[in-house]
Amino acid sequence: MFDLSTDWADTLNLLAHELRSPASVIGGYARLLAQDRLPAEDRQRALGKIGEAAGTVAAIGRQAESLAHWLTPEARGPATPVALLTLLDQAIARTSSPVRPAIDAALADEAAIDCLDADALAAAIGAVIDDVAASAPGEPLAAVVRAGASARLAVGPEARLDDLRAATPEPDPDLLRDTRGLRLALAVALSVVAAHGGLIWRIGGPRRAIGISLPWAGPSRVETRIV
Amino acid sequence: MSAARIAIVDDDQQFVEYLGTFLRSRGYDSVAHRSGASLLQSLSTGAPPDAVLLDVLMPNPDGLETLQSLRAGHPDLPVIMVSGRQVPSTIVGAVRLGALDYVLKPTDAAGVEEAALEAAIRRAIECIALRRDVARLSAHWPDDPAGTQPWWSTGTAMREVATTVDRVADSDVSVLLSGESGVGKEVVARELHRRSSRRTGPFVKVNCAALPAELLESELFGHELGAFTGARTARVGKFAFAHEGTILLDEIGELPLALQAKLLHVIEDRAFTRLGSNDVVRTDARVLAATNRDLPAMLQARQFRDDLYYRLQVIEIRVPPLRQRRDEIPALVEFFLRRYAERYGRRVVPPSASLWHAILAYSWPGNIRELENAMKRFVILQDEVRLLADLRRDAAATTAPAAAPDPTPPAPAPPPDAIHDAAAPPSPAPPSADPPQHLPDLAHSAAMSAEREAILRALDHFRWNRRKAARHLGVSYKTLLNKMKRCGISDAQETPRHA
Repeated sequence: MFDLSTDWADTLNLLAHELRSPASVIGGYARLLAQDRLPAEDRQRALGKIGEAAGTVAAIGRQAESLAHWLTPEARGPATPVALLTLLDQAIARTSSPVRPAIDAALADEAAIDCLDADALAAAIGAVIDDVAASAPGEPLAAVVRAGASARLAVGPEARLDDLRAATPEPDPDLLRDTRGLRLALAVALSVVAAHGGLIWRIGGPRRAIGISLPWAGPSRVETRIV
Repeated sequence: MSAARIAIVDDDQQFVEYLGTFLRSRGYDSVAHRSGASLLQSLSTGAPPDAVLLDVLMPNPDGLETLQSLRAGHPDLPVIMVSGRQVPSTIVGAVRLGALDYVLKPTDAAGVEEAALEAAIRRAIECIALRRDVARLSAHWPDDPAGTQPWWSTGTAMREVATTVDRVADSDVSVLLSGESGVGKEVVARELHRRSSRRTGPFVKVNCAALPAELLESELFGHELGAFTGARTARVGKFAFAHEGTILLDEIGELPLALQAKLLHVIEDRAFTRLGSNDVVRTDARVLAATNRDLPAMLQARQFRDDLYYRLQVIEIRVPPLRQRRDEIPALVEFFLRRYAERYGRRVVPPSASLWHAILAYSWPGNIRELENAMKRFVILQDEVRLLADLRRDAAATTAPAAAPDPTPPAPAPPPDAIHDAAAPPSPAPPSADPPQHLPDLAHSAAMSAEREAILRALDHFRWNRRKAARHLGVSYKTLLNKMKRCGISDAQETPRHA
């Protein structure tokens, strides 16, 4: 499992790496412009590309800020219970991927997660969905909710529905390494879920699929029945 | 001269676009790949770029895994790793896998890192240019430092072959090389390649008799992962390896009919599909074929497709047997003695006059291969008496010089700079064994000669697998062993192939 509190050096490395590409793009185009190496038709395009890369740097800055926030327990507010299905709906609404939720549990109304920041948690789940979607472009995805000692959400290509249903947590240190250009977003998601006492794990087998486990808001408040 | 083409492999679209612009500004062409898998796929179906800029941190496969896969099919392709991080273990891993360089994605304002990237690209292009130069120069350099291959004689029998090679070497036409086993068909094929404009490309030889049909198809055209049981990895076929070079299909007469159809398609369309794939792979390989079989007879027997035969036989070069090129024997003897003395660290023992007699008188039914083997044995054992006895026994068994209808010219003396002046052979050399005078003897001798020839052919065809040869000849294994003994055929006659 990726643990930001104990692996700060890795986090810094990750940030440096993510920043390097857009910084390289900005500096590179700037030098090409300064050296007058570009034909006239490419000069305007180069300026546009510098703008895009600057936007990427800004987004990385926001993600770094978010990482810092979730690394600081004192900065977190009080927890409020939010229904798991509401969180899932919010997460799916944030992604552009076609996701078909399959609910494998009958959840009581109060089957909820204690959220420090419901928006951040929905964004984290959305980042996981985006990550899975990036490795299976254009494919419909399935999100399976299972209820047990903890709430389990499994996301993967629809073709792997059976695997998603049978999935058990399988921590994977290479979870970040194998992501398709979403490393920082996934790192933030890992930190958000970890701050909520949960974890993000890999579902074994071909094609990328990921599971999220989150503790219920309190055993006394949850009645679940597996269907 | 066209601009060098650089492949960029990176999952970061913005960086890929910038690098493409940067390379264009430096006069290079570029092609972008968003993953290692995309690069590997393009290499399996098209011409490789001149160099590759490969990102390290990518999703499965990552840069190092991509480099490893790439090395299997393209060991000489220069690869520069481009990364946002400098992790020592990754750098060491990349170098061990054969990366030419490892540079950082440039970010410094002074442009030093960009200059390092540019220098690495320039080095990669110079590296591949040097490799091409070495290949080109090697093609002009004789294979053997002691001299050129000696069977390029000025004798009448080979003059026609040499003339044809001169005329067709630098064209793309298919050439069919025919002739008995061991006459040097592969040497002629290599000479055609060496003198062609493809000389800097690969020369790839495939023995069509060496593999069963299903494996041969994979050998020639390659296969995808899981194309058949046991296909645990994808494989690049020989036709893909021979791109921009020459492919020699040895023992083409053994090619199964089903593959003959596919080969015809490849020759005509210069394209094929790998086993388990629908993707069309383009190839620019010149096809040469060699056989010791009677292909016209195989056409009659419907064992060989006539359309393929006529496609291959645009030019046919018949390489004559050694008994019709006796004037080459002294030079060949000298060549092989020197080659094997050097290889096995022995001194060159000059043949005595009587050994020269025997060598020049013998009919050499196994052609140059048999001569080479005899000289190899002579160098290793340094036993002239034994070689002399072998040659006399074989000569008695074959009676070829007297019985063969070949217009055998008298054997000339060895060249003046032959191995040992004192051991110069007499000229011309008379046959060492008198032909039989009585009809029963003559018939027995002719039968033995024919048997010997047939056994040698069968053994050669089945790579000296005696059980298969016996089955092919319709005799028991034990009978074959007895006949081999009677005909003076021993394992020692098995040699690396000439054709």
